[in-house]
Amino acid sequence: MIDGLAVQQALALLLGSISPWLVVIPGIMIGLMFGSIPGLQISMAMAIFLPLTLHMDFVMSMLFLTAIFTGGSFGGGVTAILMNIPGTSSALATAFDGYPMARKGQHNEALGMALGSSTFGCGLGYIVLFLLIQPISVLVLKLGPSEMFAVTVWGLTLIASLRGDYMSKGVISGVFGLLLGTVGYNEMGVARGTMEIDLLLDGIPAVPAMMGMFAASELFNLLNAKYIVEDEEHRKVSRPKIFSGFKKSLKYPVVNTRGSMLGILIGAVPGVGSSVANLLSYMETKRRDKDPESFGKGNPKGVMASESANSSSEAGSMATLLALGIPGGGATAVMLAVFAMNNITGGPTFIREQTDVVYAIIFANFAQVFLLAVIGLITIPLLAAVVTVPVRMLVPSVMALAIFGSYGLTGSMAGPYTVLVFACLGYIMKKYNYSVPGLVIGILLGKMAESELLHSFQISGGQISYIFSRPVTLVIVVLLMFSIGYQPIMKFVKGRIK
Amino acid sequence: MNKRIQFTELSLVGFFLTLTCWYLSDSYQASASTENLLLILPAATVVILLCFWVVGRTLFDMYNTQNSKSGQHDADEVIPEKQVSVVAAMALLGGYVLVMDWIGFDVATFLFITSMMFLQGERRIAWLGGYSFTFAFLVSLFFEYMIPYPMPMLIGKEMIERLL
Repeated sequence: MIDGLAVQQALALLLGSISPWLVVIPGIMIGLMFGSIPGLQISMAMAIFLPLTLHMDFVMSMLFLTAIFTGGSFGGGVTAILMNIPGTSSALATAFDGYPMARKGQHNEALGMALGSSTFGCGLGYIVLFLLIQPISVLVLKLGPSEMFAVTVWGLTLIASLRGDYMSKGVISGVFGLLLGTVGYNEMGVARGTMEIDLLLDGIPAVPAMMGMFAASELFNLLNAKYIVEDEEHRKVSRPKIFSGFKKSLKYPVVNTRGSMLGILIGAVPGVGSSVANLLSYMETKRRDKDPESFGKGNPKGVMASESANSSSEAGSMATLLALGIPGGGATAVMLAVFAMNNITGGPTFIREQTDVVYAIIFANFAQVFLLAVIGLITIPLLAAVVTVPVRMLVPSVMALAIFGSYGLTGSMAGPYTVLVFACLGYIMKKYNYSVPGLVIGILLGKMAESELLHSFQISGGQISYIFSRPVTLVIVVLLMFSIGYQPIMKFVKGRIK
Repeated sequence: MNKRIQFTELSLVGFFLTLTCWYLSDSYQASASTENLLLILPAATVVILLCFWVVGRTLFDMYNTQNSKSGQHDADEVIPEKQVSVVAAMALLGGYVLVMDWIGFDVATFLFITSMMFLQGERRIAWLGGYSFTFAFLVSLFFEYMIPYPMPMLIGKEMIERLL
């Protein structure tokens, strides 16, 4: 499975000259900056800096772009923890427990843990990629719409686990969100629910809706507070606490490994990727925990589960890109442009004939993981200083930032309008115990779920027996049933034993 | 829960119910094909049924509250001061979003931040004007340079480049 000669050549390629490494640190810094500013996405950063790669060779270009990818994957979690703004859909679950931790004055630990789990996830992801790139690519080729639909439904089951004390309200939120996610043109060219508003033809923009529901609605709740963290003692930015959070995250290898493995597998599924991976990892960690009720109230494991999964999904999406030449999302699509600029076509032939280059990219990412940890630990104290800003300045600033970010994401006023509507809706829903994350997950996965269901329906001709001819679908369905039924069954069994 | 909260809750459920029924009917009118309604029909059915369940439960609670707690103040009573502040903040955000396309992102942001800070109790003129101006100017300029689409601005980079 591992080509020894290619490994030697890859090391020679990387260590033969210092020049490929010169772009790594700037790349991580760019990624961190873009990831931690709401509305500026990793793919946007990569697209903006893509012209610089015209002066680089293929390996150097890939190192630069993967460094932006690595830095950005972590950067998205920073705003999720400090401001409750998951700047990208892959940091959605980080906000569930990260922000409550920040409000309790544990922002230093939360950021340290997020960094620790990100480096763990990213590192493990690339190790798995190094060992299993060929089997992963074979597995990805077996995935069809029914498997992707099953994965999406698996992500949607998180809605049920987030229900809290109000199951009916949780399900209403989630399924209503699913409906909102289908607004606009479907794949058959039929427009639904647009009210003849042109901005809605492409559907409700998911990330601005997420910003409105999470950030803006939460900011309304903060209006009468003086600081995010009320206790002055807890408000301090502490490097030792950040470092202790980093170390603490490494004491939970099971949470991190499970998150990373889910991230790699789901991240390899084109189009689904990190958006679902962080949710699934969060759900699995919550389900298996002895105290599931503490999730959503500032349980550190929630942060670790999400961050390890979204960081390792980078390796998963790289597997699909390198082995099949298929970009799983915006960031890998930009990388595909580098392939094209260098007259390289990703796929089995590329892996077979240029194994040394593939290994060089993977090895360089091991080093990037280390650099991410170092740069992260240096820059986090600056980012964490947000909690020392008085709320009367923070609230309008973050709201304005969310509005600018949403405009940046959509390129039209659809973004700011979406933030406004969902901010008000989110505030009211929260007040009456409806699940805000549930609605967001519904919106995020609605279009994807409908599209994959439609493809499955068209392929199967409406025959339910079709799934029995799809072993991977069956495995995912069994896993899904297991993850839903495990807890009630165990409760029942324990009750019988007692 | 007091009566006012229960009525607001019913309004919220009514909002979900109305919007779902309208969306289902709009989708059906757009195309009655199985492919079009494959996800929408079952999902809308679930929402409608659950909304009726919540309405029934809330009405039952209202009936019980009326019988057992007449004239009693509830712990969940809304604090009027906070309510006013949130409504005002929502109105300011609404105004900001609605005018920014006309008066420019930079000026709208300046006005929004100033008025929000004022609403939250900031009265120092230097902070109100200074912080709002600096933030609005820097963020507008940053996004204008970084975002590949045109942004409506009153001052913006064009004017600055012309001045320079």
